[in-house]
Amino acid sequence: MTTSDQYRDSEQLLLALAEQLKLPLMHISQHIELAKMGKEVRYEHIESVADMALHLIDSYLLSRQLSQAQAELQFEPVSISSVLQGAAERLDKIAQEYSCDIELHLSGRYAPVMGHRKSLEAAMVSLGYSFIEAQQESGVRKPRLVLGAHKSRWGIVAGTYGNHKELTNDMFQRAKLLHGRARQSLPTFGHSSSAGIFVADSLFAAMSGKLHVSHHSKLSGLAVTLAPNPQLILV
Amino acid sequence: MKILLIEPDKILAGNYKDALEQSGHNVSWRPSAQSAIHQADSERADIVILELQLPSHNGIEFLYEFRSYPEWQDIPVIVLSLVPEESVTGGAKLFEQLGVARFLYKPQTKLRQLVSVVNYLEPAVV
Repeated sequence: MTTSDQYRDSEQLLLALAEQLKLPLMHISQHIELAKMGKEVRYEHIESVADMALHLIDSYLLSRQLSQAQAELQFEPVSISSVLQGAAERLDKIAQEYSCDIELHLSGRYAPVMGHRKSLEAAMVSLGYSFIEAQQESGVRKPRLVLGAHKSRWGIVAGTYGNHKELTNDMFQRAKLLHGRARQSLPTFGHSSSAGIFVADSLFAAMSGKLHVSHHSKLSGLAVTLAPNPQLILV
Repeated sequence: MKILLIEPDKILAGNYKDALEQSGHNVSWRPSAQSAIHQADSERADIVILELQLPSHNGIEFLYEFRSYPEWQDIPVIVLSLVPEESVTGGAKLFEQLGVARFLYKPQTKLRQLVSVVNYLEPAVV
């Protein structure tokens, strides 16, 4: 990727992020206005949307630092189960606000992978946030977010899944070309700029991973395939 | 007044509903254009509040469909959107053609401003 490509990519990601951040800021502003009108202050909600907005900003900054090689990636043996568990815990509050159930699907033992734990968890949280936000619009009575991993012939597939049957690889690739230029680059997925997905994509790309459409337990979602390193089991 | 609120974000919809109901209005919330058409079909609204950025169909498509039915042509529509008016192809002229009574840019519209605009608008005479 040339410097101008990197700059354009960074600018598009920033535009998508700016669009996305309008939502949590409006939530906070309106809750305060409602409190002034005599309604009960929902501190839990204000806290969870503010935390998620800060997470998105931090994840964006991390992805930029990694892609511009300002931060050296300290790869380490990482347990995918632990990464998904950590992401689920961080998403718990915002999921409750959107009445979305979080499920962890970990089938069996996975060999450790070489990765950057902080970036992997940040990417999973960003992905999960976009899925939670998008599911409220799908008309599903009981929205659910599955953070899951399964083995495939290419490695361990780890990602976030929900009721998004219409999500295809073609659609995702088109959305990657459109994000930052179109307001809704994934229109059938959700109404927002889905910045969390593109931030996650950027984080995985910095770790030489590739976000792709995946299926898990009859659900569709986005995942990354990580190659296990059997030697790490002996470490 | 009976208000049909078309807003994809559940939390924002709840806030608008709270503010409008406190002012004595009756609000039906729908998150998508398709579900809003069904709602409008089952219960006539006095005013429609519409976000343009919706999942699947966008708000402009909804407006074209909504205005194509004679019984809904005179219902005032307030566009309350994350998209600024000048960013929409056709802009103010298009919204005038589609019978949009007011265009409000959501991030800069306080709840009390929305309530004032709704209170000011007269419902359509059936």
